Amino acid sequence: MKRWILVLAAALPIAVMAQIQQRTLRPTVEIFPFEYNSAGDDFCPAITHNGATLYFTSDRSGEQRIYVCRSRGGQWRSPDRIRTLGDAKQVGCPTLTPDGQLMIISAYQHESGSEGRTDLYVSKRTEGYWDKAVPLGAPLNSSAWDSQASLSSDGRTLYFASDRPGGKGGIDLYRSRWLGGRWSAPEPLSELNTEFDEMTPSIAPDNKTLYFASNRPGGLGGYDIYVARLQGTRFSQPQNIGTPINSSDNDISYIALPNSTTAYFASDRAGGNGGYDLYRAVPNPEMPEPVVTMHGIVRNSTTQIPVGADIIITDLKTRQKVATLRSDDETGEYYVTLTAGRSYAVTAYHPDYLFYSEQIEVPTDERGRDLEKNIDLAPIASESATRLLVFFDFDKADLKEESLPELDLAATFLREHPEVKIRIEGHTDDVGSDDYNLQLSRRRAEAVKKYLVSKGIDEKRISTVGYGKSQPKVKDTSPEARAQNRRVEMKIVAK
Amino acid sequence: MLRRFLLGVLLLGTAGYADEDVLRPQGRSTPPPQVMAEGLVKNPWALGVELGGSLSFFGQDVTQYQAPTYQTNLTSGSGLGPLLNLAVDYALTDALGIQTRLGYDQKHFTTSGFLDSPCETPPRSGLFIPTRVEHTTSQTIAYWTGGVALRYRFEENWVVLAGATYHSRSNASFTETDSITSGTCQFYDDVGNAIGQRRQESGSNTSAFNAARWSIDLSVGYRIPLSENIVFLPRLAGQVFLTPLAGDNLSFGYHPVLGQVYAFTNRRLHALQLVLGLWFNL
Repeated sequence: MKRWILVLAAALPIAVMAQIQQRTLRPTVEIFPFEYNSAGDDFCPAITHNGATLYFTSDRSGEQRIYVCRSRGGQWRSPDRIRTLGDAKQVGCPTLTPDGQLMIISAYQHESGSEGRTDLYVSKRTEGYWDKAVPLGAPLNSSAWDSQASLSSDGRTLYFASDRPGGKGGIDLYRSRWLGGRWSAPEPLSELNTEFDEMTPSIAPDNKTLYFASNRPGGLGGYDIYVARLQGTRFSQPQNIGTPINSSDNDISYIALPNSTTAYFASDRAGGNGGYDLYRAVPNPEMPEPVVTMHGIVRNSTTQIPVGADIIITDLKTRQKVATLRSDDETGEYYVTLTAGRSYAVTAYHPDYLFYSEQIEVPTDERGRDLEKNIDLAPIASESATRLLVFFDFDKADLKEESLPELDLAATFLREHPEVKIRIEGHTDDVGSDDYNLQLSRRRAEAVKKYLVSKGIDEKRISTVGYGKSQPKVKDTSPEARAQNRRVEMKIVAK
Repeated sequence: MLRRFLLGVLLLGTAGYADEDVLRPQGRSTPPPQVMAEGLVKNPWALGVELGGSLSFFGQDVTQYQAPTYQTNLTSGSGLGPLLNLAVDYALTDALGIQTRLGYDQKHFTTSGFLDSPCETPPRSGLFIPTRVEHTTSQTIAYWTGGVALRYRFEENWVVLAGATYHSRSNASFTETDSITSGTCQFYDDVGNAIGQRRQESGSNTSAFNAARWSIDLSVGYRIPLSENIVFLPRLAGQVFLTPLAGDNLSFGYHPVLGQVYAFTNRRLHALQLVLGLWFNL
């Protein structure tokens, strides 16, 4: 007994010190109301373009509708209602791909039909406008209430709230994955769900940190915001995010911005404009891991006019597509979040242009940075050329397997443009003799031709040439310059 | 009975917020706040200044009782006149609004054609020579207008307007030009002096046209936001008049020899309008 008292006596000061230290280390969080809150409910914020565009839901017009605000000079401009998503009794809770070109929304009694009650719908942005939303269908949608989706930044995992049977009670959180070209059957997040409500899930840009709201006992009152982090395939024990973000009223819809100390959430606390209001919290007390963001503009290489092109980001190590996005039809802008410490192939494709590919290295120490990469697409015309992202072993002309997706794209391009004849041009760096490099570049160009012919392309449409080291892209002997000079290009010779 | 009716009305009113929504599977427990609809610009009220042009299409039925039929070239004509509107828009809902408009609208049209005209040569001789004359009438009628229209906004920026406009005649003027295109005949003034092969006459003919006219207006426009508080709204409008342009004229074109009589009936004018509007938040 005495021993236990001693242990307790020793542990108590340690626990108190730990509490004091935790309170001391925790930054002072300030919250600021959003300047365009209405007398109605304003909730479900969603951010795209690295924080430059804010979407949210509001019933300021009497019905729940989605509004968009754009940032100009650090100030939000007044919100515009999105009117092109189709007629519905209620529409809201958008989640978007980071580039803002695809939106998943929730809607009740949408004109496109439903599985039953409130369901999830998807809309694409075309020439500056959102298309009419179409239902995501089963198994994501059910005859129950399915709403409040949150799409991971790679677009491959969807979290949402539902009161469908099979959960723990009330509203529960579910997760579905994009597998084999379709959404998998949603699985309840049993480690987070309770017999009470869990809703407004929001997966952070790191694809690991999940925020959600719950009215489970032990909170500050009403709905509180909780955070949980993905560890393997399961989430950690959720933590109440605390005051001043949580209050004795309802606090929901928490989102974190990429590489930013800012977060947004909704609350119906006293002192607002009425109903739920949006608030900005700085700093975010539960920051997600930093990510690498990449943005740029896709342009016509001749006219510099912006182009809306499909962009595929492939992890060169795992050869998995980590993101499929589209640059804006009007501005050509694109935006994507990437994981640091990887090597990626960035491929842009538009039917009227020669496709473009480039290898992007994102070192680990780039975490938290924003990379800029503009892409110039060459119109399909004689003498237009593009670098093929093909890989060879040192001193060899055997294609490495990671070259094949790029060459498959080239074969697809040639099939879609049967009038085009091409020349495969091999280049080397300046290491080695002229004659050796000439031979190597020829053999590498031939290897590419051989693969394309094996894919059904008429060999008469393909000529090859090896230039050795005679036509360097960069006249330098640095490793970076040599890497740029070692290349295989595809040039259109007749159209 | 009255109590049951009132209860029914009350239930009907509360049914809307008991429905589920994207935030709550059971719907909200309290009615949504009364909120203002979003208007043509941002606020429910907007003030518009519109400038544009009316492309008028004039037509009339010409019946001629005796030959020759030279006045038949007056059956149709068209022309462009300016218009200016001051308008107010009030949003009833996010999509639907009502507009009232006061304006000045000038309808203009020109009829032109060739006719065979008897030419008295020499003057006061009683000898008439048929001669070919190009006859042009340019007519302008100005109206003060007042209108009301329902406005429907769809697909974010498209706007459709349907309404009626009252036109109060302000003044009208004409210019007639005759040019002899064949022969040697000339025009003569009142005292018999030759004035050449071209003559022109202008004047006011306000009373020749109906003082009040009604039109049905249908237009489609496209919103182009210029700033937070200003929207540019070009629109194309069709204007169908329910009231004739003028009363029937049954004794036009007296022939000095034959004394023929024309009847001008069904005298109509419709218009297409291209209107460029700037709308401001009120």
